[in-house]
Amino acid sequence: MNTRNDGNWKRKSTEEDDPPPFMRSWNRIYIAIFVYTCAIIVSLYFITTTLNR
Amino acid sequence: MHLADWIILTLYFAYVIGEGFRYGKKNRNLDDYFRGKRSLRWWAVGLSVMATQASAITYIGTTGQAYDAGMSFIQVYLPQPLVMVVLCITFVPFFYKANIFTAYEYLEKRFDARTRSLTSFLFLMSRGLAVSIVLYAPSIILAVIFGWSEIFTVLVMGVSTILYTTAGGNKAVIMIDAKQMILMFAGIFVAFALFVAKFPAQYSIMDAVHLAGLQGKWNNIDLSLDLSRSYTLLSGMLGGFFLALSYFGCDQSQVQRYLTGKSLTESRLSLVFNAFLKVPMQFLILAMGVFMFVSYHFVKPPLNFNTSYHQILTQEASSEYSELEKKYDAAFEERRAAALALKQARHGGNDDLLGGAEQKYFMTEEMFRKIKQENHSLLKSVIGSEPSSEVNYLFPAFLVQHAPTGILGIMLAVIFAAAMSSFSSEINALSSATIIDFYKRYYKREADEAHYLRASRMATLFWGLFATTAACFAGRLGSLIEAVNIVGSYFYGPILGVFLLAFMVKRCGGRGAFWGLIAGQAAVLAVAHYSTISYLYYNVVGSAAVLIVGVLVSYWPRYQRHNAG
Repeated sequence: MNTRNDGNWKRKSTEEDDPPPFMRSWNRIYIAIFVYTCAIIVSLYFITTTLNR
Repeated sequence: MHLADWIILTLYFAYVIGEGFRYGKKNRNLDDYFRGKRSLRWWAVGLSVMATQASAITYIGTTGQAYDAGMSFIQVYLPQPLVMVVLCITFVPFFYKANIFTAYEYLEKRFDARTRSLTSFLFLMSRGLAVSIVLYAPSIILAVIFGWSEIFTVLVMGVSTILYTTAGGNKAVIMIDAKQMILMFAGIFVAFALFVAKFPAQYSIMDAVHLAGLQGKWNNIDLSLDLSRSYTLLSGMLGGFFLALSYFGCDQSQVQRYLTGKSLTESRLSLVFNAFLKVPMQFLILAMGVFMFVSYHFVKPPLNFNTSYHQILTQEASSEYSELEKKYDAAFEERRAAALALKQARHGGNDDLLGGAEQKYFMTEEMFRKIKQENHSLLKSVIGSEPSSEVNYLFPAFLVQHAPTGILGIMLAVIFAAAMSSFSSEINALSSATIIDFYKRYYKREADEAHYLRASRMATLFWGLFATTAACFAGRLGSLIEAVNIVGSYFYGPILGVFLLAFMVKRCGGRGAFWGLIAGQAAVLAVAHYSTISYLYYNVVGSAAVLIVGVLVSYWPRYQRHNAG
């Protein structure tokens, strides 16, 4: 018996899992995290250029 | 230390040990002991993931690092929200649906037993070495406060944690972690209040921000492309990404947290929770170090934060040291006056006056540093070797000198909570890897649940004692937070590479994964030895080497037949 998992992650799409309790889909949450990360980096850069000498 | 501080500390220790034994009574089998019956909610798992990563080193080492070198260390944490997304999409569903106890168990299902065993062994090596450093950090505080030896304080910390972890298993660890993490959040704000309370009257937070900026402490983002610089946006987003992906995705101490989620959704939510909270928390902890730097302009920092060095110099070089202390006191007063004059000039709105005040401040700061350097040279000549890094002593020394009664007890409980939450998760993870990947896999394949439960408790006890013993010899390392990441970076890249092969390269078989792992580890050792690039890039090199060699071996015609068979 072949018990190996072939590791094809596309087959295991997030769509087949339960949706999150907010924002209706996991993809929306992931996009929100990406935007959040960009906002943090920009904010930190702004702090560096404004406050640092 | 007053009675109120002692009572707070005693209550804290009694509570966590009591909780450990309370949860321990419910453990019947390995599923209970290592996965908490997969019954935990997202907030508990999420807080535990944070608490496991945020050790006492985070409080002591990171604040010390920010005091010394500013905020640049934040760049290591910037990719973590993105790492959480990658984990939610890939690692978490793979692990959760595979119904496994350890991350490495998955590798046997995907590749073969030797790849699983070698990867698990590398985890045991890296985590077994790093966990001792995690335990050593808070021992410094007790040593500074009570004048105890560091070895004795390591033993006190280690034994307490071993007790509740061995008895309670992973569910106890997670539930206690969650409460410890809430305590740590509270501690951040208490620390800020302590620092600000030491500012002179009418000295505002914006004055402090300005002073720190003059010293370049707000260096959050460095756009340099120099690969030898440790903390840049590039090293953070590239090296830090691989470091975090490996740590959260392949390190059993973290994987074991989210394997306990009540459902896949709960496990994912625990990481989403981390994605939003981790960077702000780390920013605040680093900012604590910056504010401590400003506070030490108005309350005199000791010439030697490490009191043992102070005693050595007092005994061995009393006249020179006494002279140095006099110069130091005068330099501190001059710097204090210059900092206050700077504030006045800033509020006066006259650019010429402000420029002059800044110049005067820089001169006094230069003098202050020069005396610190003279102290360092004197110390080095007396002890005959390079003194251990001072950054780890800064925050505890501030607490001892300036925290009021009761608050000191709370802050000590916070630092103990930080240390114990990481230490407990890690020895629990070392135990699960030892039992599931080696003992149950090779030595005792068939036994009743009671036997495995006993063996798991023995393994937890063994790793706890091993780490405690090793921690007794950790004092010679430099910045503790760096030491932990450097040790991790030697192993994390290759381990991550194997998991990436598993998930991404469908045709890769066991042979490719095994030789890829060997090549990755060799590549990291070679780069560490022969190049000067920052340790954060070791993770990239290790992962890339595993992927390249793993793919080449798997696609080599001779082995393709083997994989197909």
